[in-house]
Amino acid sequence: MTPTLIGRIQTRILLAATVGVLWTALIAPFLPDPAGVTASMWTVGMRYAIAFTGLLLTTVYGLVWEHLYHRLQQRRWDKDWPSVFGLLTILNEAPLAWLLVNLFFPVMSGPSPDMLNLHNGGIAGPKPGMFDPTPDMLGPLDTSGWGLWDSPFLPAFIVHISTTWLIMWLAGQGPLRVILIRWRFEGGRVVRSRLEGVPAPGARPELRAAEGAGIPVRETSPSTEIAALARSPRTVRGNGSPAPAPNGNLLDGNPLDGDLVDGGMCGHGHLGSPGSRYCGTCGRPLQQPNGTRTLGRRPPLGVLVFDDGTMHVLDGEVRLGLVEETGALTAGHREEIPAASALGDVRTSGWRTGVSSGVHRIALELPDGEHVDVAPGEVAWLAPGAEFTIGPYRIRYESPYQPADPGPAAHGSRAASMPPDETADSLAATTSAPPGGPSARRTSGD
Amino acid sequence: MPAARRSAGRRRMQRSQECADDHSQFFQFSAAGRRPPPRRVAGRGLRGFRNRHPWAPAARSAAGGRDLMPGPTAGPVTGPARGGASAPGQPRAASAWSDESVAAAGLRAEDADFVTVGGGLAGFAVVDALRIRGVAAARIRVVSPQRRPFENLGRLIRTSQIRDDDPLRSDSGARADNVWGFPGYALHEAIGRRTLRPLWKVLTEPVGAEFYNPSPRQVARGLDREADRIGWYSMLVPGQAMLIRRRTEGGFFCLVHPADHSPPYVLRTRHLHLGTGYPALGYAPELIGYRLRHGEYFNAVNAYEPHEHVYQVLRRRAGTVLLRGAGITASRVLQRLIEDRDRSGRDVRILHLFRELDARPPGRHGPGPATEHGWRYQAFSFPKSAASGQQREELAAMTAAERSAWIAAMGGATTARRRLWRRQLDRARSAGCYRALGGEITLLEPSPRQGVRVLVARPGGDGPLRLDVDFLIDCTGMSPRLRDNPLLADLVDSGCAGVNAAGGLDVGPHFEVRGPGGGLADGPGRLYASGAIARGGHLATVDSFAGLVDAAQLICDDLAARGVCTPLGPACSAAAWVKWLAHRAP
Repeated sequence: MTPTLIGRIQTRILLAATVGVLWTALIAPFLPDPAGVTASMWTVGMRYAIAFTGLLLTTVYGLVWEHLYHRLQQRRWDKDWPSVFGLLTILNEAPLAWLLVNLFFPVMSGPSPDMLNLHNGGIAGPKPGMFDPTPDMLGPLDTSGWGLWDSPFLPAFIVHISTTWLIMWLAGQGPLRVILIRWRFEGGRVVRSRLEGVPAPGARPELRAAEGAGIPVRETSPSTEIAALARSPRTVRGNGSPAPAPNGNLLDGNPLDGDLVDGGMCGHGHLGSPGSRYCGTCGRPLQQPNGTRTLGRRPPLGVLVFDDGTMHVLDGEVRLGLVEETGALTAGHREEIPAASALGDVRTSGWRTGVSSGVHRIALELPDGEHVDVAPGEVAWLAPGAEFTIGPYRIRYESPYQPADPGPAAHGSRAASMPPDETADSLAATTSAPPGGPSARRTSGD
Repeated sequence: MPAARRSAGRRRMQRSQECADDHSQFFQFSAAGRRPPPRRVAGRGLRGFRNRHPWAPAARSAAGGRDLMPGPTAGPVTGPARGGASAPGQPRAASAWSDESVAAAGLRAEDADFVTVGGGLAGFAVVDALRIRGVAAARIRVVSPQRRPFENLGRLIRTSQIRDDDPLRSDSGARADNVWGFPGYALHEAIGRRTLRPLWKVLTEPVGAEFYNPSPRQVARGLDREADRIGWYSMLVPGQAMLIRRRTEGGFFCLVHPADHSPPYVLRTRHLHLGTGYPALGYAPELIGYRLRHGEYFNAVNAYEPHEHVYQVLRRRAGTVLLRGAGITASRVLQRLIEDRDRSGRDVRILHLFRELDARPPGRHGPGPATEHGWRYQAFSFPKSAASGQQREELAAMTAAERSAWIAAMGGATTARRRLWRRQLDRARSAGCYRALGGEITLLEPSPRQGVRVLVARPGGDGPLRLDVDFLIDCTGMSPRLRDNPLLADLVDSGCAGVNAAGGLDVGPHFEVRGPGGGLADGPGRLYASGAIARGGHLATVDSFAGLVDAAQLICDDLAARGVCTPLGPACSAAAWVKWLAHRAP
């Protein structure tokens, strides 16, 4: 909590009046006895009087201190007042308080000359105050050596003031926040005037039509316009959709339609994954396909990172193979890599990526630590952060797109039971025709 | 004529202008005469874009070589772009609806006393405060695409390289899951781990130790626990709020598209709260242009999008990475890069681009270096007293323009001065693998060696700098522009909400959204907004945990005055706290 001046003052008064008073009342009877002072003087009344006077003086003179602290706070660039300062300031406040307490209770720093005269049987001085000791109260102690700082009352004062201060500080660190919920936000202010613009509870809200803040309302609210909002699902195309067919109809007989995927569209018409909140191209929010199906060509799905740090962007089907001369791992389009040197295939389907190999077993390690052993011909779907090993090569898959739903796993197991050739076909088929998808994809909105 | 009563035509014109400005950033690339991106086909340029964005400036196409807008184009659209609701091609729905018109439209209506849109921390804080003040869960609805309140924020935090146990830039008492801030995260951790260390840290901060910061794990746990306690999931309406309209009979309608693709319906509520958070990720215009022109998504990345591949590649081979930004995200990304470098031993070189290498934070005086090697150090985004102290009071007393200027000046990119980071950077600097530069990126293009070529304009008389790097990580943060969120853009366009000088929704002292004229459309129902969308208002720290709770309390105070909930006096507050402690439903 960073206090303001008024907050400081109010908080100090509140804490002293509640926690301080309560604690003083509790601890006063147990304050240590001053050495050499008889029990007849160190009465309960005396204990309470001294303790409460100490608390009162600390509070009242504390208000002066608070002004000083506030001035010091202005020298801190962020106008902050660390809570430890609030604890440590007792080190400067307590000596002053002790000094002041001694003004009220002169006996604590040694009997006054008058008292000594009284003690020595001299002529009577001024009438003793309420707590001025009578000679028999002081006992046999030689009081001539008492000073301000070696008074036998000092330990009692220290115990009282330090514990009270600590309790008050602790109350400000926690319990006060519980009782006064706005206290910590308002710089320690306890009493606050009603904020502008808030009517009293139960009062009728004030109407301010005169300020011209009205909402422009059309004369009618045409139901037809609202009805348009509840339309049935439709299909639209997002950014990156392929070239229109010669007849100009995008959705009719386009050979590239197989690349189209479902997704959400941002305000600029970029297509994003249904599981993403933000567009991967411009960062704007994606409208999820609620009621409207959006089709488009998706951006590259991810990258494969090889052991040597080579990064291969996955934008469609990729074959992993070996460079004949060097035996190094490489990746490229299917037709670029001869089947003889192929290790496996990485294919994409919608927003998912799968890996399969016709000849090798694939050891797949998923990001959650799960290990999957993929037999030749089976397909394993990859999640971002998955690593798989084909032969001696370890490859990592990274993608900004998390799988949107648990569907892929189920799908994967289905594909996994297929023979290699069928798997390839089924993947391709999934790309262009997911269950229940193709007809919808090829249907224009109206 | 009052501003609020502008004609629809005039509004539309103004909107066209604003949106033209919004999109102007894209034109600077096409203006450079670059080739259209690969696979982009002539004829799908501006025409398609205008189909869905009728405000896209037609004149641009004829203006000197600006005939091809490379990126944000799409194929001809055969239907409305988004759910029909905000489809620009059709007439906009009326700015106020009546029960009758909604019923006539065949839209199902559900009633609630209070609806919040967003479902992130801003909405959570308000709902939590309302539940604590005695509002039943059945009277509240939360329209949200996310299930857990921390879901989206948690994902962004993780993506920006803050791991689950790393420190966030927040303090112990700033808890969105505990309106009292007590016990703070430090006490919680001390009890949980049976150690006094967190308490010692929170006692001596910031003088003897660095600030105590909670970790995302602590925050997520606390939020999940509190969400469970207040019955968050029973209030949740999974879906997207597509449109908000004033109800002629008082209150608001919120059109919801459910996540399960069931037919849209409207929520009819008296009071509505918006807590949609930052509208977008802050992709730099250069980055967007680069992606659209070159179709390259992996060498130049934004720090808030998943970019783990960068670190994975640099663990496996030597490389150069250029970092842009001077905020806390840049610090965290640097930490990851340097830690990975130490672990892998690869020769990773880091270039760090600051806008200015020697900028001092405003208002900073007194001892101690506030700036160092281009960084501007500050424990939190704003000075502590802006959250609860005299600067908070000063800010509340300022005029809107003064406030906006103050926030702009004080809210610049700064980072926390953490010993770990300074040591790491010192080490990297002396090893010669880290170098700070000053300047602004002017152009990005693919480099011949499968990286990125960056042109940097340097301050002063120095010529531009050409850097060939393997990766560029842009750490420039989130975008606060309201227009990026279609729901908010529509709200502003339809005259339901005004915009303040800082570009946030214009809100009053209790976060009540004011109309375009700056006045309150007072009636039986109120619209509130808190969180990042309400920046520039009475509170500077709107998007911090403490700020969200503060705003939620102010909103609830206002709602209490309207009879929605009970005021939270000392006894009620203490009783509610005991329930919180005992994990009992409020």
